[in-house]
Amino acid sequence: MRDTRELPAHAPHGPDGPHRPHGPAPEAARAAGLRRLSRLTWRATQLSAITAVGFAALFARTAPAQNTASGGTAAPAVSSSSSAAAAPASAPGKTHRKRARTAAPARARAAAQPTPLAAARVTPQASRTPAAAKSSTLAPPASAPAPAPPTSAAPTPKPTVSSASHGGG
Amino acid sequence: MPAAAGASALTFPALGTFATVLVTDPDALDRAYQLLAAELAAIDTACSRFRDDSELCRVNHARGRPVEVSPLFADALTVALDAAELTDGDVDPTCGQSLVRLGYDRDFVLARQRTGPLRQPPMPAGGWRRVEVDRGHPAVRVPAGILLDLGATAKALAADRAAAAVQAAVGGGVLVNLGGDIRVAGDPPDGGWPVGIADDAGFDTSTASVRPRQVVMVRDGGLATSSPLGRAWRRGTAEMHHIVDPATGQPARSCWRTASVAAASCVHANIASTAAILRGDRAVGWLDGLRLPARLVRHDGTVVTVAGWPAD
Repeated sequence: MRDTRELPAHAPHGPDGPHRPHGPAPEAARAAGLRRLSRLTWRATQLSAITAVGFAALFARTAPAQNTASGGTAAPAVSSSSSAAAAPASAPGKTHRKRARTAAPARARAAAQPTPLAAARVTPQASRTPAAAKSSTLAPPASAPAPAPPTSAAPTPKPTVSSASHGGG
Repeated sequence: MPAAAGASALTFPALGTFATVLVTDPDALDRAYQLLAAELAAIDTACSRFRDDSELCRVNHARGRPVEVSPLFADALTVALDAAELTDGDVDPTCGQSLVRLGYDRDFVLARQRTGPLRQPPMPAGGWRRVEVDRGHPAVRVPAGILLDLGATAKALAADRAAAAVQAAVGGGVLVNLGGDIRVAGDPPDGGWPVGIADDAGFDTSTASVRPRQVVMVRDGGLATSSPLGRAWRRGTAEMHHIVDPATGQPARSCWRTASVAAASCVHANIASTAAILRGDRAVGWLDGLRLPARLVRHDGTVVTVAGWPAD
């Protein structure tokens, strides 16, 4: 008895085996879909790359400058927990942190590149006015402040005041 | 040596604070005033953060391009960068953006009137090593995003320059006091110039005056006082003041409410007093090592004197 599960001898066969009931159209549609998906993926990748480069350039230009390792102060943690009382109400957001990360390499490169002005950073002492003369250390006065005379010999003129309350340091 | 009784004084408003000039020769007072006023006008035009026509504003808004500047501005910026170098970055002139974020973005009288909460997070200093000065031309380049604030040292530099200019022009003894930043030059009165040292906790807002806690006699050099109480304001629930920690961009939290320091110049005294506030307890050993006489006042009123500063 013939096995009815066998394909008939005239049944068409494709390269991948027996032909499916609906013929070649779904195969072509699948291939076309895959090609389209591939193109979309490629374009999305290109768009992401362009966007990343654009944002990196933008942030490198506008991001807040921060100290490099040689900058004399520690790399800042924008979100500081050191001063709850003095801290402004809003906390640094995700955008700010992301910006700092993105901009750091660009800033490091910029800091590493010498410029004509950077070469002139060390200036000769003679070019300064006397009041701006550079010192390698903070210099003490020739004589320390002395105690004021007793009240009975009140100093004249009337003392001028050193204070920060009038807008000074 | 001139007699103290011959000293004359003149005080007038300037730079958002006051300016006082004392001379031992009363006849020289008018000339001394003219020279001081001219110096203050020049430093304001060069270094004001709140004048659109100042050189500082031009430099701050150049977006990283080199800007030609006056020799005075180059001097002021160089002094500010020296301050950063001498204090390992504690006194940093690139704190301008930090101050703006804290609400100090206009003249102090106007800034303190705004009391709403801040909308932006604090911003650390931009990095003083990235600022470039070419003193040959002179020209300055500040990287985009960095704002300079020369307030910490420019006023002290003006005091040094003005005292030297007045003394050179009129001779005798001269004292210049710019909002508490003091420089003396020439022969002082007998015993020295009497200077009242305030610690700012006793500031009387009704009379805009503060009673000195101590009077000392100064014979040479400069003297400056720094305090987080002096230029303070409130935003929301947060207390602000103008001495910024460059690492955090926030107002410095110091164990001192006032630091007064004497040095060879007013610039050095100002740098040391500002750094003392920022360094807290470490300031005692640091000032002593430099032999800088100082009077430091804790928030509870305890006074610490250093390097030969007379006791109260």
